Amino acid sequence: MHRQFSLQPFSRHYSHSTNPFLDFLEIETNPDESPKPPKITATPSKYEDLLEVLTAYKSVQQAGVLHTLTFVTIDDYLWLLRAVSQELSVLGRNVLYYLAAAVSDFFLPREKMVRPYSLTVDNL
Amino acid sequence: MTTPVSDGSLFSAESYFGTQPPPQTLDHDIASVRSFVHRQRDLGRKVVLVTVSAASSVLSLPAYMSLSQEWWDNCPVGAQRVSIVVSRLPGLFTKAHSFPPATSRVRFLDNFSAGGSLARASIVSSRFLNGLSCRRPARYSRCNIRRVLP
Repeated sequence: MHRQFSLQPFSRHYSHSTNPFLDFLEIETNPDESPKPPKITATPSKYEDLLEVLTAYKSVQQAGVLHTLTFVTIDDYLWLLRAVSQELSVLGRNVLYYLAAAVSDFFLPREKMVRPYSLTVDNL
Repeated sequence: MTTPVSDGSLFSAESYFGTQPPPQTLDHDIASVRSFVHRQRDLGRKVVLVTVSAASSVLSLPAYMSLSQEWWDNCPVGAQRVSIVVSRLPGLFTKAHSFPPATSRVRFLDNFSAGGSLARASIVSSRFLNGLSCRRPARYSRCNIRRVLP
């Protein structure tokens, strides 16, 4: 379970802000002007690193050993944690909980939240 | 069961889950977890639940944007309407570290095979590389759009 938009295993090597994946791609146009769409290939200098990460990623995907869930608010987190724990209970002693998320030490009940001003858009 | 907290009051898990609404995607998320857990159990594997990164504390309900009937009738429909509305949202609705437009539509590693070939779905990426599709992703906005009836 991780916060939405956090870096994740494998894809963390190609973050959209520090290592944008589009910089690793090249467009190969067809010289003979055939109707086939152009091909996308990996930049040769980055190919080896990409292949290593990609191979590990595909291996984990194929084995089905990684499952990810996202949360944003503390409410999301608590509801998810409770529900996931209930599902994991069928595994008995074959489960380890490693709860390292930095969740808030407070929450505001929904009935005490304020509703911000309403925006009115008439002149678009 | 109740637990004392710092201000001397008591926190009750039963009360919390009884009064706070669950996330809208909870059932969908848990269905995928159930499938995953049962598969691991059938294969005799052990499972580790890891939770990382920080959760946000929500201090206010979502803002609403009111649209008049006249505007609604005269505005383009579909994605173009949503695009216009979202483009007028003030900066406070733009979440930090959101995906920039061009990278918002593709999960990078999902579109390649280990042999280096490109999946058919990635043809989409060649379109936005050519600048044909570059629209601000509406689904990451936390603003609800409400129609105002006359």
